[in-house]
Amino acid sequence: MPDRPPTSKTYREITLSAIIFGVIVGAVMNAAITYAGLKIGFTIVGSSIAAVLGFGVLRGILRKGSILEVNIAQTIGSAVNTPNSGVIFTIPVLLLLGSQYHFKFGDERFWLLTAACVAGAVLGCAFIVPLRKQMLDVERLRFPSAVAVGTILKSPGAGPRKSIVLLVGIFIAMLVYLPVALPGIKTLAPLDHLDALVERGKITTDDADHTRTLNHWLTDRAAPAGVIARGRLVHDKTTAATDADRAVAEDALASADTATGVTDAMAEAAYLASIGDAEWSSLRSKKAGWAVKPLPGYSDLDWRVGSEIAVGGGLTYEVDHNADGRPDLLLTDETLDVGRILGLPPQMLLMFAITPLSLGAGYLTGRAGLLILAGGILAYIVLTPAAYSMGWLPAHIVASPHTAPEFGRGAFNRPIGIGLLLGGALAGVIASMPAMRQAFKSIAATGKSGRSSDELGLKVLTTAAIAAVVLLFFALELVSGGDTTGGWLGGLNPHVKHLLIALVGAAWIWFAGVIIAQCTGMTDWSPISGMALVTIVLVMMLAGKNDVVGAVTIGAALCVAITCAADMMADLKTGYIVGGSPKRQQIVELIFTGIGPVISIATILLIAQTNIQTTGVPMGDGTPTTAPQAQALEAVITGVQGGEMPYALYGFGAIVGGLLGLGAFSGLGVLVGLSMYLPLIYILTYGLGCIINMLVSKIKGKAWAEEWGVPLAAGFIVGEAVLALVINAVVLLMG
Amino acid sequence: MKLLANIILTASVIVGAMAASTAYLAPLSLPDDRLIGLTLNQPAGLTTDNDGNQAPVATKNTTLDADTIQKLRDTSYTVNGVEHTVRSVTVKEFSPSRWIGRWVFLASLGGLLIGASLVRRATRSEIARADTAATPGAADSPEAALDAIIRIVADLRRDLPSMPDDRARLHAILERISAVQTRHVPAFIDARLLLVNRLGLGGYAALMDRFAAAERQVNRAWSAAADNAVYESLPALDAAADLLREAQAKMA
Repeated sequence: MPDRPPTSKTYREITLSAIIFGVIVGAVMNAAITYAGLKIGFTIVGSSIAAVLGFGVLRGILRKGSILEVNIAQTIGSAVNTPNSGVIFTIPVLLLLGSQYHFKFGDERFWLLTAACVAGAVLGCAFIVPLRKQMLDVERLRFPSAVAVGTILKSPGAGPRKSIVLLVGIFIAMLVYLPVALPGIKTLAPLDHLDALVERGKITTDDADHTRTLNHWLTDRAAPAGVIARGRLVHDKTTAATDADRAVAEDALASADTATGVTDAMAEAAYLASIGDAEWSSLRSKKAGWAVKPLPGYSDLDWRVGSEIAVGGGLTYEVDHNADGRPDLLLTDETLDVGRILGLPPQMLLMFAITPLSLGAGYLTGRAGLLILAGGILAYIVLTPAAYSMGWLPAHIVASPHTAPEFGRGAFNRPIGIGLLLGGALAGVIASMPAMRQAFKSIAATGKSGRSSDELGLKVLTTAAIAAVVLLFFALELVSGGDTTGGWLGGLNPHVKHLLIALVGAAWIWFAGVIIAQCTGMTDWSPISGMALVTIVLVMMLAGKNDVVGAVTIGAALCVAITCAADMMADLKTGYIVGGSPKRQQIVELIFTGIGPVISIATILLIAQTNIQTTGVPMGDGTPTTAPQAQALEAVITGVQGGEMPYALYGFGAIVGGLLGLGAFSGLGVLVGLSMYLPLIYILTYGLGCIINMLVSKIKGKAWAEEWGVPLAAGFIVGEAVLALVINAVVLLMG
Repeated sequence: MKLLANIILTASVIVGAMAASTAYLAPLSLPDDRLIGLTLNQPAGLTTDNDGNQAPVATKNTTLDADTIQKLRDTSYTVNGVEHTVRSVTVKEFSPSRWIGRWVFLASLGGLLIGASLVRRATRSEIARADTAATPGAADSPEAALDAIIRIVADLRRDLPSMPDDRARLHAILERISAVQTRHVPAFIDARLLLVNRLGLGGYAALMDRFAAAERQVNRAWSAAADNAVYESLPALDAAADLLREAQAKMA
């Protein structure tokens, strides 16, 4: 290269603006998504949102951000946001399982849980560092969402035509997804619409009757004395200061008269209005039980199964599976039932989710994603119908064949799928050993030569591994109580037992992190719930079935670690696409990810304390935050305690997954297992994206499919993610 | 052979998964002493009362005794005019000797082993044939793709200083690197199997270590150019040139 004049200019990469922006966006997203996750079981990956916002704020408003600066801001934003997935799955379980497990701000359990999760976040990031070369440089995993984020970041230099294609993709995704998301927003139903809403199945007859009753009281500014009396007891229960007071109030309520057609919420609202603590107009609210109507969605097109009427005037089962007196919808707000359009038997599911995000992710994955589709077809089109035909399903499922796909998923597809994932991943790790060894050698050689390294060195891994074992050991020493003799390690000295659990836990962080990163890398799907399940089961098996606090604490740390590991790899992929420095990304991710669990746990406690004040219980049914994901984990914990876990299915799945990996493609078991484990409706839409990619490549050529298809597919991913966040923010703001 | 191997693999996975799904089924045809004491993990059987309400004969968590087993054996229920009997129940306990699909599962594992080894052999010979048939320096070879990338980077480094202004430099970087990103890098990556066959997985990893580092520098040069920061693009291209030479050496 000829001589060139020296320059004093520095290319903007890690800057104060990027750090402040990333932390603020990450913190806000973390709190909002934690709340949304507890309320509606909905979590989203924040990278694309952070990228879009970073692009708008740093480049648009501040007019000084570079592509790599936005990449750093987006990395920090998602590092702060991501730990919420691991926290939401695990920590609320303690608030669901009973008052002996509850914790509050500032108590010992709060600090231990927070410290364990912060340690998990940092360790997850540190553990995955040495695998970057193997996964991104050698295996070149696709990471569809990371590609979408990279496409957004690159849009300033990609030329106006590609930017327009990206924007068109975002617009189409929002347009398609709007009728899916809009029904999430619900407004109070007008009185004169009640009958029509009942007829269209939007509300129940009871909802309509309750609303009319409330309106009657509101108009009269009075409610029957019996209702007021019951309302007082309900209010006493919800405002009881102590557990003893609450027990007394519950007894009184149980022995009190019930008013027909009046719920406790209605009675309490009437009582508060009658004593002047609230306006009578407050009866016209969701909280009091006034019916709500969703905004229009796809189901309003009223596309239903043919309406053959059975002998006797009723609808046949073929037409009305759920026996609600109306032919079933072919097009719901969220799905299109192609199986019923084609006349497939009800036990054979062929239903597509309306999700441009999955379609885009499928397109970006391309041909490799067909293996995912194959696994889904194996589970839902072959396995479940075969089990149905062979008479292997319980009688109540045989009597209602449309419930067979969901039953089959829970009873065998999901456990076998998780087993396949584990076995396939193990086979993949073994097959990749030469590449991993080379990657480790490369990192170590750079460290020894003194040459400027691309990334943090092996010292970080060694330090992290030791720190992981030490932290997990101390966490177990401090939180484990109750049954210290149970579990596989029950006969050992408690300190030795805790040390062994810490060692297994540290190894598990690495292995599960590899699995999650591989899955998201190959397909964009993250089996976090499956890994959380296995994590908790593993810890309970080692520590003893009754050491719930110990299992949840360590399980939470491990789940946070696993999610952070996968997020870090995805962010590094985006960095790769835009030419970022892995080392800089790794440093900011390690520094800032620890903020995430603090925000998530604080948000959970804030919600729990508000719930206790208003409903008497911290979380779960009867509160505005039902915590669906934690309820699923609660079922797992009680399942382990009740001996209901199908361990043999996990084992057999693992053997099949491991053997599948012996073929030409070591990741085959992971892909097939992932698709057996996930709901088919998303797999089918995703598979459609893969097929579209293959068709476009065939017709227009691979380069064309890449050059124009990628920005459009990226737009699909970003458009749905942004719209989902906006709609959910509206839902949360409206209460 | 590859088609046959894939058929064997697919069939083995299907059969294996089906056999595995029966692991917790206890056939009611077994003698009572092998069923008594087991705990139901799903409701079993179905009866209909006079009002037409359906209920299970035995609920979940019921411990099987002789009476319950007999009731289940005697139960029949009708769905869509077809009469069904209860042939098996789902229990919490697993026992290899009770598992109806054990031999089928073992056979499927054999099928998986055979299918996997056939796939590996077929893939190896396919790659070896392709490698033998490949002409060194052909337009679609990995060497040609790498040479093209090296040439474009070298041309850019040579041409940029003589260009009239930064606008022209930025335009050249964006245009020429776009060709690298959309054409030559994918062509090189598509040759993965060929390269693994030649270099082994360790050798391929060593090659990709250098190639990926170079590609990242090329991407950095592009991003900097898109940000009007030609002062960052130039050193990135210098670094890429060095790394590409190292990659070329690893391929030799």
